[in-house]
Amino acid sequence: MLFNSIVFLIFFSIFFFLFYFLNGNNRKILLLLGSCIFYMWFIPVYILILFLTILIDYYAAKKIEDSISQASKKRLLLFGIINTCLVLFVFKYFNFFTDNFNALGFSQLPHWNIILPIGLSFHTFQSLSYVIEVYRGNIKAERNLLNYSNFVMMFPQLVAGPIERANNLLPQLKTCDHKITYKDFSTGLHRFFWGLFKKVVVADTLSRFVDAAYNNYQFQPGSMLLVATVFFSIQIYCDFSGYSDMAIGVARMLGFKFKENFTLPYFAKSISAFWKGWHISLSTWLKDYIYISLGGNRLAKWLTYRNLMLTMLIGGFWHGASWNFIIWGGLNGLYLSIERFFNFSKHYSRNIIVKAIKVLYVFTLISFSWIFFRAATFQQSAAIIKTIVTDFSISKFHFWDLSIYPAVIFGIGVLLGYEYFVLRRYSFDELFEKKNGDLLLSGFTIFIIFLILFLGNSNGSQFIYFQF
Amino acid sequence: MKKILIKLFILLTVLIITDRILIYFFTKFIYANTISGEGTGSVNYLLQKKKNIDFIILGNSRAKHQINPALLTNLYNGNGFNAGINGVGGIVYNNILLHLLLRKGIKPKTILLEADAYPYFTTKDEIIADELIPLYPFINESGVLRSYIKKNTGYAEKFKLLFHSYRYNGMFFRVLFNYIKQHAVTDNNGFEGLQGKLDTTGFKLPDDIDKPQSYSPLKLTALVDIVQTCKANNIKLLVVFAPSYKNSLTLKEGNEMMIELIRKNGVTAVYDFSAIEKIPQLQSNSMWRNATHLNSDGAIIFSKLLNEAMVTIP
Repeated sequence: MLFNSIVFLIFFSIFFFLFYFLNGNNRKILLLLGSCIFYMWFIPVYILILFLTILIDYYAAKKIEDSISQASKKRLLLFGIINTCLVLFVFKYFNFFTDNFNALGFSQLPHWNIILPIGLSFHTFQSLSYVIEVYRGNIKAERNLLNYSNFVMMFPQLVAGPIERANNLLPQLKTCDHKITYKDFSTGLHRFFWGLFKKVVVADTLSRFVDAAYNNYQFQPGSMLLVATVFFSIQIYCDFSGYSDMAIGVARMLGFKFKENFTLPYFAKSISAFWKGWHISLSTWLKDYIYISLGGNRLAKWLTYRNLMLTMLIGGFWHGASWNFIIWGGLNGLYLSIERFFNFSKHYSRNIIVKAIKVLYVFTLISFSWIFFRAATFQQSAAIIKTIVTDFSISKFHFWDLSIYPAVIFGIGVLLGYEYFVLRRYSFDELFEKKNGDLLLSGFTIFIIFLILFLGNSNGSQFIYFQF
Repeated sequence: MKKILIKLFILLTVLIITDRILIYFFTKFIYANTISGEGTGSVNYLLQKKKNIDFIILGNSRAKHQINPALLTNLYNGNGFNAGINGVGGIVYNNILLHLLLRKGIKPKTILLEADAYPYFTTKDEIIADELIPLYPFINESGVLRSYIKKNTGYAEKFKLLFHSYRYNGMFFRVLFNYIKQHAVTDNNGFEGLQGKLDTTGFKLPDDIDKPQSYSPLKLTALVDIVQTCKANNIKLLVVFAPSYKNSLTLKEGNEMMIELIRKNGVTAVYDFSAIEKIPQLQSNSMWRNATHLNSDGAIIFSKLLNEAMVTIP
């Protein structure tokens, strides 16, 4: 079920009122039931994969806590990690490995024609973090399967994150007796529509240009491909952060508080600052469970660079089973390593021009890496870069479908204005607390709804991160 | 809960009242005076400025950019208007438009319908929302449009249409822009010639051009409805099949089936130019803007050929 669909609006309207009036176990059962319906809307049978990972990690964590010897705890941790990763491998990475083995001429392994279960990488990482935290003794193992299932399956974050941590979400799910306040509902509702605006007005409109350029890249001049790449940088931000806003907003309307997943990353003045604000739930996951586990920056300098590279390569591979995602991850690892080498993020300046140059520098490097993320193959990425460099030709630029530009200009204007002047300074909660905050938020919500009605893509297109 | 319900009630009330007031004034004072622009404005232009037109050309972009009414001198001395529309001018759109024109008192003597088999036969499903959207501003005035919405769109579309603002989805700013420049609109016949020349690099025929095609019953029904509406209103219907570069849009079997269907419904004036091998004047790529659209030079030749074919209209 897509957040940007009428069916979700109907589903959530019914769900909200039932959830509000129930409490305790009934609420938990309703939440699980709702999450099952939400997930099964895509491909029903895939819910069995979810149940399997839930059972593996629920059992592993319980046994880890019950074990006395460290060796046995470690064995159980490995059991949980290997089995969960096996599920991920079979459904997501099997074809990648067999195709590469076949290409190298080792054997003729079969290619498995299977649709990737939606949100698989998200919920497996969420499950893994739970087992690791129990192993590290940071949290207690959950003894109630219903609570644990809700932690993994809770529908607002099920298919595209944020990848919630057990120490934040599980305590909220355990009692499930919380009162849904007016503030929860109001801020959640506003945030949901703000996310919807980012998705259907900005991201979906830009995607029309981006798709047309990237899908016919052979016939486009460099100027078109450059604009399409810049548009894609904005599109993917609005698509993914829009989804996160909607997920956080929906959860908040139900009285749950999720962690932030984006903190205005394109205003970052270094690549490391960018990664502190982009897909925070994944970047902190990678930092806590891979970078730090590898030794972080506590070892020799070259090992720190190795750790950075490995972490980002794994981050790239997490996104998708293709060399392009690995290159994308590797590029970002390289950026971070170079910045660290030159101590770039330590250089601070109050000069607005220097700040603007730094923002532009981050945006340029990140946009360059998005070429690999968006293009279908490495050959395509290379051809696009080559065309941008060797055949730029502004005179060959053509606007295509003129109808997208009002939405692009107005949408990006509203986006920049609200994010730069308002959300950079105040959280949604702080906005609500301000004098007449509720009234202003409500007024702005109505304004956003009109923008969605006038400018939004009405076809209910999928989110980019659903493929991961 | 009480506070939440009150908030929802107030939000919805404000939303609906604002929606109704905004769209009422927008439609009355802005949209009604917008007489240019793809789809919406050009329909207003036809409704307001071309009430006494002798013939109207209906079709998609292949009508709009390829048939110049002024060159059809054998047809009421060229006193016609080209109401073709880019992208979405399929047969359903044209059927609704025809009914809308008649309802608004515009009754041409002849309708020239540019038809292509390709969209009828390659459509596997019956998704027609794109053809309906450009005419949403006329929803109150078009029973045929409402009927299509009722029968052929899902509940989501019907829900969205509860908000009158949605009638201008994707065109709000475009209408505003064209409203501002309304005084710059000069007298025109709807035809727009395309500039430029076909670049044949990478040209290939569509993958599905030779494959067995399924046809869209909904679209064929709309075609028959156009034929019958014209008959009922004593309007002469002429049907033309336009050419395409290297027959890249020519479905031979589909064309034959359509011609048979049209003839079976009493239309005798069918001009089939779909086989490019029979038109040597249009075979050079210098006559084409792209594989499916002639440029202005090609359009002149094609319009003249069509005019010659109309010396005697059956």
